[in-house]
Amino acid sequence: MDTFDVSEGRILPGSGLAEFIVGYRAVVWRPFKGEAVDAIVYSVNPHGFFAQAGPLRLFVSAHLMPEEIKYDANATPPQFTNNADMVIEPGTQVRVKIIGTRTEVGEMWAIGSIHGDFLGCLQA
Amino acid sequence: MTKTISLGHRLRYPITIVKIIKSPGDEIKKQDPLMQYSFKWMETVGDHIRGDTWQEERVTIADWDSPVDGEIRQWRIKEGEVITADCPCLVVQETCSHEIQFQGLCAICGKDMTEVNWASESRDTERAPINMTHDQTSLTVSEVQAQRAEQELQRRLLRQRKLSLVVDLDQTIIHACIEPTIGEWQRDPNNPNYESVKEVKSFQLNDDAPRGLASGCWYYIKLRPGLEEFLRKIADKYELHVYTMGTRAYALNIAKLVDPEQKLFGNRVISRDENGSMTAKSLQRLFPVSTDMVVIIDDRADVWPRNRPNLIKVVPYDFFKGIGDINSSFLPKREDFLAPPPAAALPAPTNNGQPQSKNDTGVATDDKAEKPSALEELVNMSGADNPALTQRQIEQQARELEKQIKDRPLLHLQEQIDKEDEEAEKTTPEAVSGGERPSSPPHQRHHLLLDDDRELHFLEKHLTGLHEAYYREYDRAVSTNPSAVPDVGRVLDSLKSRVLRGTKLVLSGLVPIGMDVRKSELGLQVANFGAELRDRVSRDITHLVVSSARPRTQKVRQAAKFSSIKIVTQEWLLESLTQWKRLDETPYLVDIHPADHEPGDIDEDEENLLPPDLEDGQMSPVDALKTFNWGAADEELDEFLASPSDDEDDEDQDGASTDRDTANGDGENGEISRKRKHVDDDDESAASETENADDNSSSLSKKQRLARERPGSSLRAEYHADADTSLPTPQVTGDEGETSVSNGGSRPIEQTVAADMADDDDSLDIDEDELEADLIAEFEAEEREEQEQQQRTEDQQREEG
Repeated sequence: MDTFDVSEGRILPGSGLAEFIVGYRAVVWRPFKGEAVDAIVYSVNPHGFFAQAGPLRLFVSAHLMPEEIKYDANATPPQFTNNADMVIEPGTQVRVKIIGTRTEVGEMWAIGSIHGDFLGCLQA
Repeated sequence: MTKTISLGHRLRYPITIVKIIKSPGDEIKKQDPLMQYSFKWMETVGDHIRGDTWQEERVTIADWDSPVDGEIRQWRIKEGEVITADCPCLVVQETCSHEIQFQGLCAICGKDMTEVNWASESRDTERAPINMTHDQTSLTVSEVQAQRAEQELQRRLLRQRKLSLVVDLDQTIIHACIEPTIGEWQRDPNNPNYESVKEVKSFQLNDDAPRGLASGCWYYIKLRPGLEEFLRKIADKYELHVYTMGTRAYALNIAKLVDPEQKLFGNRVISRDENGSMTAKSLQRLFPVSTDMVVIIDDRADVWPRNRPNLIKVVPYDFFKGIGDINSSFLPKREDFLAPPPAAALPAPTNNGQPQSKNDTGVATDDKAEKPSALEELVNMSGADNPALTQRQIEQQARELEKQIKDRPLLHLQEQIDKEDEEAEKTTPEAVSGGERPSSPPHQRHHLLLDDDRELHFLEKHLTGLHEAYYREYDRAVSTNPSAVPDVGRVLDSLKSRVLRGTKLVLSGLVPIGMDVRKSELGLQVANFGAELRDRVSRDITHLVVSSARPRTQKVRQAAKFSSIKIVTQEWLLESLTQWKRLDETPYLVDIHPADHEPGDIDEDEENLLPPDLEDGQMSPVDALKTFNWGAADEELDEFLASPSDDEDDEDQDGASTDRDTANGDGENGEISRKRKHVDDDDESAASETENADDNSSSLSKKQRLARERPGSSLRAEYHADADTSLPTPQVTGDEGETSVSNGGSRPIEQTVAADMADDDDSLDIDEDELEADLIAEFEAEEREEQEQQQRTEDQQREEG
């Protein structure tokens, strides 16, 4: 975020505070429900996997994956895989559809799904 | 998944169902009205200001709103029904049961679970209360989901014939410290410690927390000898989890050192950041439903309050002497401090001259200064504490660290050892590790850091044995019931309890005074390993375990009278517990001081025993004295031991003795009261003393006394000599049977017998018969003098007290 224009101050009557008009430029991003985002997996556990898309942390539960993708605890590191082209482990790039979001000050979380066409692992 | 919903307790019962709006099969949404009901209530009407009010009954019809989304399956209520209390009314097929939640979002349907509304009585977030993932705290699951996940895990493990093993890091498989001296030693091949520290691995923790001097400091990690092989072998039989009280960054770094390919631990690492408690670990955190297949190895038993059966306690690995566990500051001080291996347990006083005495008093202060600083730093890194506290800790830690970098406890220790080395070479070059640790080869290189730990070797054997036993049990159970999963805790218990089965132990000097032996760490362990713990020395106990720091206690004296009792050092017990084997006692036998070993000792067998039915201590009248003034009792005991004639006199005066504990109802029992005499209060002894004088006129008792006196008084002399040496550390440890000699009581007596003491000591070594005649005469005189003296002392004490 940067500012490029700060106006002259105008003192507010009665309080001594001043009012400025500031122009600024900022990168903003807001995830929407139903949006597909690309994210990087950072943690995998039996219930699902966590992925990160910029500031957004996503969780994709095992329920929201295609049937054939199963958790494999014996792999190192543990992974979700369909024993074919799809291997989800930390570091994998995935395309995820957001199905729910929640925000708090400074933080965003979302629930994602890879159950659907063109979702899941991104082949590099 | 169907769910039964009840009406809720907030309605004004009794209610009458007026109309059911939605019928089975209908889709319902949260807050949709599902039915209408009516209730009666009293309204106050009239003029409030004038106080002219009366109650009038009203009937109100209200909607009952759906607390969930889903589809109605069945109503349990009918129109027109009168309901007087909360009851289940509706069966609903829920669209989503919100079983997995992530940061307040349902991970299945994506709905926000933190929303609260009037229709539902419980919050949706409560549906998934269990946090069972290693590396996340934000992900929670419901009980059902947890059960499913765990059954899945169990099935997988059973298929692979594995068990889960939860591994602690600090002092169990590694030892960490942040002492900068290590780095210097590592770079200096000429340092005597170079050989030891060259294997030490190190890393820096990069985190943002402002930690002053400590930020970016190096962590030096020593892996326990044989760790790699141990883990490799064990990983075939166990699925390994890391559970540490360090921070996550720390845990991951160590996991990387120990297991660079992540083959062993994978991502199954849990640290205190995810644990939720700074002082306790819980298997339920990882295995919320069933711990039937989980084994723990940890160096501390007290952090696993709920999972003791699954725990294999490991002897702490203490490579960097005196540093301790850098991550356990929040934990209460190790209560079994005497139990861990000799290096840490042997207090300095006994072997001060030996080069290996690590806990020298001079350095101890440094250690203490260093320890908190390391801990402080880790506290700060967590950042979980409240800001004010953290701020304070940061400041304090900056100071501590500066101090540490200046002080360098290990460097000091090494310097000290070098110095002692020189001295020791002049005197006794062999006394290096003599007797301290029979399992380790004697070390001739006199450097601070020894790498002689063999714990993992035994641990591997135990774990392999346990695995075999478990699957033997499993195979047997499965043949009858295919879904049976035996409990590894029980298997472990049965294995352990074989180790010391049939032994009856008495501990001496190992459990702090005032602590219940059976509840102490050591006591629990001993009981766990199948030994029977007794409070008192008696004929049928098998072992007396003695602290090597204080090998001459009252119990030793008692036990020395029975050849069947093996008097062993604590190392025997510790090694046996480590190796899960009842070791041969011979190398551990305590040298009984000749004075304790007198064959013709005053009150030989029976007299000093409790009646058999009271021996176990549970019922012992001595227990009633737990709150007794032990200081006074000890003095009394001194005097009792010092005057051998007391004993026979006791017999005479038993009936007359005024028992203060008649509440116990065993005052008549001669044996008990004689026993209690050892610890009874001053008055009685005074009485006995006066009676003594009378008794002395009886010629029979005189003869008896003459026969007994010589050994008796040499015991006394020895006793005082001993008492004198034990004075500097009277409060160290010991249980109630012991004689902690207090200053005031013994001094005057010592003065009177001081003259004789030298003679007595010598007489033990020279031919005893020769001196006997002389001594008898001498003691006769001295006896009287002493009794008078005692009388005076007691009077004096009573005045003081």
